[in-house]
Amino acid sequence: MRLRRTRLYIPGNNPHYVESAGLYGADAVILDLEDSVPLDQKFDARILVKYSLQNVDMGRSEKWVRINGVDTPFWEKDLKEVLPFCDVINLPKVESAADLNRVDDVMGAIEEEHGIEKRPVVPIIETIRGLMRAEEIAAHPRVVALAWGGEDLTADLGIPRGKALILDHVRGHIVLAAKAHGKQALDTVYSNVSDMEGLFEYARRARYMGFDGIGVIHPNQVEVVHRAFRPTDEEIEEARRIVQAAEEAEREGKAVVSLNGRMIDRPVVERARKILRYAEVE
Amino acid sequence: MPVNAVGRDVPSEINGVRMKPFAGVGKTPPEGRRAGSLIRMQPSGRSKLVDTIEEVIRKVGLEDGMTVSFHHHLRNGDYVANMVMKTIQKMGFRNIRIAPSAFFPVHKEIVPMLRDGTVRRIEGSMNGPLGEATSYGEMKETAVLRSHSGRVRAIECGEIHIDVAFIAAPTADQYGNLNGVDGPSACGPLAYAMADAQYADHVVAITDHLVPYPAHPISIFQHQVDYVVNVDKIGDPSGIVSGTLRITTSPTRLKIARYATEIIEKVALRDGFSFQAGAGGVSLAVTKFLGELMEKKGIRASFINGGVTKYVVEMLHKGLVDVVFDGQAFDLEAIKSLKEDPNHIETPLAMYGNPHSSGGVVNMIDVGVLGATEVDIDFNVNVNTHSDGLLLHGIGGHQEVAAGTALTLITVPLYRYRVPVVRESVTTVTTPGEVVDVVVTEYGAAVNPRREDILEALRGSGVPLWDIEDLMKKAYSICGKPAEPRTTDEIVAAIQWRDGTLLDVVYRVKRD
Amino acid sequence: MMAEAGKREKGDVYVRIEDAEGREIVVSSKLMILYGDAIRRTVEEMTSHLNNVRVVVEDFGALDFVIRARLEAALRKYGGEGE
Repeated sequence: MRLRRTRLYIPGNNPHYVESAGLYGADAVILDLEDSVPLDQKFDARILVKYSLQNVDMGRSEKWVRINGVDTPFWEKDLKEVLPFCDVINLPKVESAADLNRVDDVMGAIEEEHGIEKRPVVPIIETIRGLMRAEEIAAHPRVVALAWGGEDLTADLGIPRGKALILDHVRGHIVLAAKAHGKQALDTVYSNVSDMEGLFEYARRARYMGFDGIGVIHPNQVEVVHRAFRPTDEEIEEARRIVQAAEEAEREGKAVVSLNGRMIDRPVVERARKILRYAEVE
Repeated sequence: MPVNAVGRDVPSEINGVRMKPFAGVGKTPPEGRRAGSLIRMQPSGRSKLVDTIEEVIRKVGLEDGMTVSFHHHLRNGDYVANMVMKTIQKMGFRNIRIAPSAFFPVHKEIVPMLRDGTVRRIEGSMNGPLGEATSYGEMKETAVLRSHSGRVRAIECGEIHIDVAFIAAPTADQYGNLNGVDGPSACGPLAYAMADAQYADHVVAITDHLVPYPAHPISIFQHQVDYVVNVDKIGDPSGIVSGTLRITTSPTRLKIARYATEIIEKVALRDGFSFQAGAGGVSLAVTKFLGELMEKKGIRASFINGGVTKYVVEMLHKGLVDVVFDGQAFDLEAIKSLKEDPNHIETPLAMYGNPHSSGGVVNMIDVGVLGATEVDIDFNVNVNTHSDGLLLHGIGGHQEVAAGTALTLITVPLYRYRVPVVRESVTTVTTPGEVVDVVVTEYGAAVNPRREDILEALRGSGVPLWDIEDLMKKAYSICGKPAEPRTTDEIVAAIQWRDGTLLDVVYRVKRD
Repeated sequence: MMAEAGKREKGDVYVRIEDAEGREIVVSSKLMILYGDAIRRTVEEMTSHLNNVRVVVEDFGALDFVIRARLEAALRKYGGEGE
């Protein structure tokens, strides 16, 4: 599975920002057609995103587009314009598998028409209803990762975002729903772009909460988050030993992996492998 | 016209005076002895104060065709050059030659004087409207641009003879002792004016902060100063210094700065190293990143030559650097430190990088980070003109820093709003490629093939290494290849190398 | 009929297509000397099928693909495509 430690949001209707989107080494770049684009610019924006996807060198970054939600009149046109040229569709305000099915149908028709591979979807859960249906959303075959957003959620609950105590519970819920279906879990953004230490702590915390990455709103944040998602030297050392033991067991045809007299379960080996992947990417 | 050592067509004369073509760095030795100023009889009385600028101009005996000079420590907040030139214009003088160390956009008031015959030519850096006017052919004679050190060389050998030097002095006493660290228009050092004070026939200080005799500290001494005029204001503090100098926030510029810092780390960073600090966007960021790196690694710099800003002062106060040499201060913290810190030393421009001297500071500097409007595949650098041919910037200290420092980095974006910075051939050569070591962009760096040692040191680093031609191709593929500027055959400005030879010329731009 | 696209901001381009007599293309840019011809060529190429229009392009240092994107947006609106 692709690393998605960082996903960098770029306002889709600003050529100046789009041009340099690929320079920052983010695992993914999200050209946004939703919140950062005013209603009277939606038409221009989706065409600009179409051209940008084909002309801007995004380096090693995965190309996402955040289209408008199914509760708007824009999402179908967004898909028709950009789908053939992007890697992932980021879908906001998803509340159910039914929402995803609607989008799946339109995507399927476009993919068939163009003879292209199926693109995955990363839904953003932003409401209580969506949160309660997180599992069915995560289970959908199109979905590769679950993301979430706190603004609407806390508004729904009637509490100020900055003081909301419930958000770690929300995070946990998202992680568990995603992992129950073998999908990635992606945390939301850290909005203070001048506080790099706070960002590092936040990203570390996200990692230990079980997330595979966080959203990023400024290029300066990318390197800090990558550092935070890098396993510690101790974790890497232990992971190496575990993977070595597993490979040895496999070579010797043993059914059970053991290390220092302890039995190592399969999930532990998988975790060790994942740790090494995160360590080796640099 | 002969072709010089960077392949540019240059005439053998400028303004009727022979100028040798650039023959390569270090290839043109000096000749003769240093020039001298008029020996003046000491004045009678204990005061050199003159009431008005008009009166002092009469006293010095200014005549048509003479040369006057100004320094640019007050940068875009300067009032003095405009005040003096307007008075000269009002008094009806004609064909004056101005030799400023630099002019800024605030000096656009001098543009009409090019047209009405008051000024026949300017020999000095011109930033903004004056440069633009020159580009369109509004100067009667050919402008001559020199680097800071080149200007000093030219004054010392008599190539520019200054009749009257007008020195803006933030602090002065009635007998002509001057400094720049006190007063409402404080600017820091008066380094750029020191050669003028020594070599001009008449020296006039213009101040807005008269103090009891003797003023102290003293940057320019009384025995070189003939008259002092006290006016209301010599400048606007908001244009002289910055209240809060901010490092660039542009993500691409920061990426360039990080690459530059990593290159410095791999090639030159070690205990006792030295570097040239600047105040431009990327240079400031590099200074800050270097400081953080030095702190982390426990490395001390032996000295920093600046371009002094609060970032340099902070390093001084943290003990990260032993000595700061100051040729120009950019903010209030720098001025305060110059006044108070004994190891923050004002240095005359003559000490900076004059190749026809016994050796300037630049020769001892390990790292220099410079900007450019354009660079080409021969590593030549342009800081004077834009790709449309307009002359908009002066040379500054670019040439001496590039020639003197052991590692010269040119930090530039690959392109600026569709205009490629890395291109096939620069519009104007300001600094020849033979002294340029690395071009650093947000896409990665290109190392001058002459510097195998740098290539070796950068192997395995995090900085993507490019062939300079590939960088150019990348720029052109993103922007499209630009058309050539629309210029005529008429030469409007000469670009001198710091040894006095002719490096390139600027052609008149056709108006739309 | 009149259709617009783009913004008058650095790195972008403002495009307007309107009914007129004959065929008129008006290009302005701070980069006229360096890229005026290239911009004009792009505009001509993308609007060659239109007659009786005035195409106004105000460029602010946009890369070629941005100009094309904005032209396509304006052309589609001019052709009646609903927003």
